[in-house]
Amino acid sequence: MNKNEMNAEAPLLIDIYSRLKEELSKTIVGQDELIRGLFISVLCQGHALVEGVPGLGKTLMIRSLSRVLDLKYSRIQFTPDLMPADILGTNFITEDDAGRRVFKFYKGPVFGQIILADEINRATPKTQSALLEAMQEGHVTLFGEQHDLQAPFVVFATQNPLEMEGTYPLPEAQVDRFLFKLLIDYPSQEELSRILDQTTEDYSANVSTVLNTDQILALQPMIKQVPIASHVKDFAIRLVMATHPGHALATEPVNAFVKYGASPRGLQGIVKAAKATALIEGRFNASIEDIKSVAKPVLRHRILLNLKGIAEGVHPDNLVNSIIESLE
Amino acid sequence: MQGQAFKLQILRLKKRYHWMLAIHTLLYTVFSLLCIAAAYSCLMFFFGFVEISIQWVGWSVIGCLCLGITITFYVSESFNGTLIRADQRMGNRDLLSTAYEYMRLGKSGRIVNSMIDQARERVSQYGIKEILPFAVGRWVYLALPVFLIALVCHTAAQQKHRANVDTPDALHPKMVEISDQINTYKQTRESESGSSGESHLIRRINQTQKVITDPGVQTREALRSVQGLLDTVSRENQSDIQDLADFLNPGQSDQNTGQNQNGQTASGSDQIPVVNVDDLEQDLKDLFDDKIPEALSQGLSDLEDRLELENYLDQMLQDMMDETGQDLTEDSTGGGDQESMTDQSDAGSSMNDPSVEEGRDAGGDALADQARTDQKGSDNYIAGTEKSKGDEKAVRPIRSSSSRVVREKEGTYDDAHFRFSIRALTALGEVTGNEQDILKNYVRMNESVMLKEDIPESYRELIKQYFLAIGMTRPDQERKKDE
Repeated sequence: MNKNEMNAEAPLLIDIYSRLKEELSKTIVGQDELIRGLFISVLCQGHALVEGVPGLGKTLMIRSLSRVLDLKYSRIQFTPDLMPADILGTNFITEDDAGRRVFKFYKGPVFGQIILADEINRATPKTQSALLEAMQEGHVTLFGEQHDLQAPFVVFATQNPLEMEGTYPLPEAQVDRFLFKLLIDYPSQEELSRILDQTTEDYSANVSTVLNTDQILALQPMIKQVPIASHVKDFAIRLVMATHPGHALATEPVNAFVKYGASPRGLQGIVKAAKATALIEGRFNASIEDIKSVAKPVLRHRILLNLKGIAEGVHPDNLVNSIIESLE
Repeated sequence: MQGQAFKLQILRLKKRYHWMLAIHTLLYTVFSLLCIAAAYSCLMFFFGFVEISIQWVGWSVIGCLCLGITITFYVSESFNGTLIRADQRMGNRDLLSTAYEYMRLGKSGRIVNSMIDQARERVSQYGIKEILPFAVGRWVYLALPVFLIALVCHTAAQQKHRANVDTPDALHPKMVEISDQINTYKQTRESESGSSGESHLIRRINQTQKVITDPGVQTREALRSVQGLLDTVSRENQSDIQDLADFLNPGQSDQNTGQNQNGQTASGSDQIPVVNVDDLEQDLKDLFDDKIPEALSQGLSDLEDRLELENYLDQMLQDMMDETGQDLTEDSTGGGDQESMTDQSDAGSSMNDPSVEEGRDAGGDALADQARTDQKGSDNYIAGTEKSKGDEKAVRPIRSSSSRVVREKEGTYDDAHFRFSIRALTALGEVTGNEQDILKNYVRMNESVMLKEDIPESYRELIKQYFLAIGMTRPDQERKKDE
């Protein structure tokens, strides 16, 4: 399937997504929501923050996805002593053919297409911010020279919610650059049984490619063309405005437990993700249900709780639920 | 091509939407009319037959139509809103509303075309009626109880009305005859007085006429109404006769007042004193030297008419009671008469109440007593009330006037020199007209007002005292004094 074919046959995305899930299921058991979120992130040219306890297959999932999408995969294991140059790359002095000593740029792991920033909250803020320009602009600047990153460029960062000692929580500015914050939950009994079968027995999975770089680049602009009705946009706007404490639409829990609400970037993310959701479900218009379905992963890391909210153990998902109920 | 097909589907959906609006408007209108009918039926049931004109019905229909249109436009959603609701109901995930919006805005594109095609397929799959089903709100369930209320009340009111009409069939023509005669009297009175409805008696006659010509009114109520009219006429006659008698014989008024104070007040024809109108007329002629003022003459004429009416009503009431075998004796003393009495207007109702009568008499006596006290306490001031002793007239001091001096005169009497200042009666200047000509008009006007206006009974004595105090005496007394 080439680029022209993709343009002509828009409804094919549902088939692509089905095949993608099918291929990923060879290595990953369950985690449909995670697969869906990661794929939407790729389609929307967004980045995702994946949070879950160790051992749930986060790294395996992202690596498998890069293989199915035929994208260059890079993994950066974030540690406290990780330096920005370790991510972006650095200049080495080397000799050219004429024997002259010249600087040669050695690309860091950020020069991939799917970047797995593993345990990103373990690195220092200086190193974390090294990813900022790459994530937002799609290029890095070193020694005054700009280096473009190969599109599509997607960062999947993981966080471990349990071991918080010696970690550096991501600053709000950086958190806001992630389209989704995806949560991984424990698998069910049936899924665990299948995981056992696939990992403890003689099992070899041969994952095939579903899409390539060109096809992904052809699909990405298509997301913006998905129609969205004014009342659906209005619903998304009201949803975001309701996350702001003190606003007329804000619910009582929001006023009580929220310090800052979602940004306009969050609204953009909701609409883009809703459009992508519609396409991968075989529809050609974004609906209110699509908005609702992506509201939690888009808003949960953009709603900043106040001290009372943190003390009470309020989860942003519950706040989003209360907002959706109030808007209906 | 697909876009055109979807446009046609949208046109059909819009057509159905507008039809639904029209039907909703009609339903709201009918429901409003039903509510009005129920209210009217309730009124009929509880308060008797209420006459409505065809114009009133027409205005009601127009009003209900306007109300229906208003409610429809206030309650109904827009076409786009209806499509959104249809999407929610059918689980279309906002497909139809989005496709309609993009088609209306003229947006196009690969995905937009695919969406419109998807929407067209969805409309074809479900059909117009399923997308926009005809549904009315829960208020429709109210229509049935309202209709039942209207039906029950109407039926009950009709039965009640029929029961009322059944009994007085034989009497009804008689009632109409009475009504015609009362009407003739009323017209005569109106033409003579020059204005319609000037007196409460006219209004009372109108009420009675309305009651006895209403076929839905029971015989007893008609009798009560005639009785009430008779009482009113009797009271007026009694009052006029009493006034004239007082005018002719002032000494008797105190006796009458004393009677009232003793609680001997009675209502109706029993209280009419046996006074011959001809005698009264003769007395008045004597009083005014055969020149009875026009107003008094008119009053006498009215009194004669009312006495005739009273006699006629009395006779008619007796005939009706004989004919129907009903008696109002119990009602006149019991609470049953209160209803008819409360219908009477202004003076009629209150004058029939013994307590009010007593209070008024007491008030009148108090005023009269006050007048008498003033008379005794300020003999020098109130002239004409002091009885003359032989030929010596009562001392009547002249109050100094503050009006301007119009002429100065000087004279001598018994070697004494006098200086007179003739002052104007008014601040405007000297009066040059004939005194009798000027006073004649005022006298006539006052007499006319006294006889025509409903002067409260308690004030009559006071007014009479006033005129006597300003020097107006009876002609026969003047003659005696002259002799």
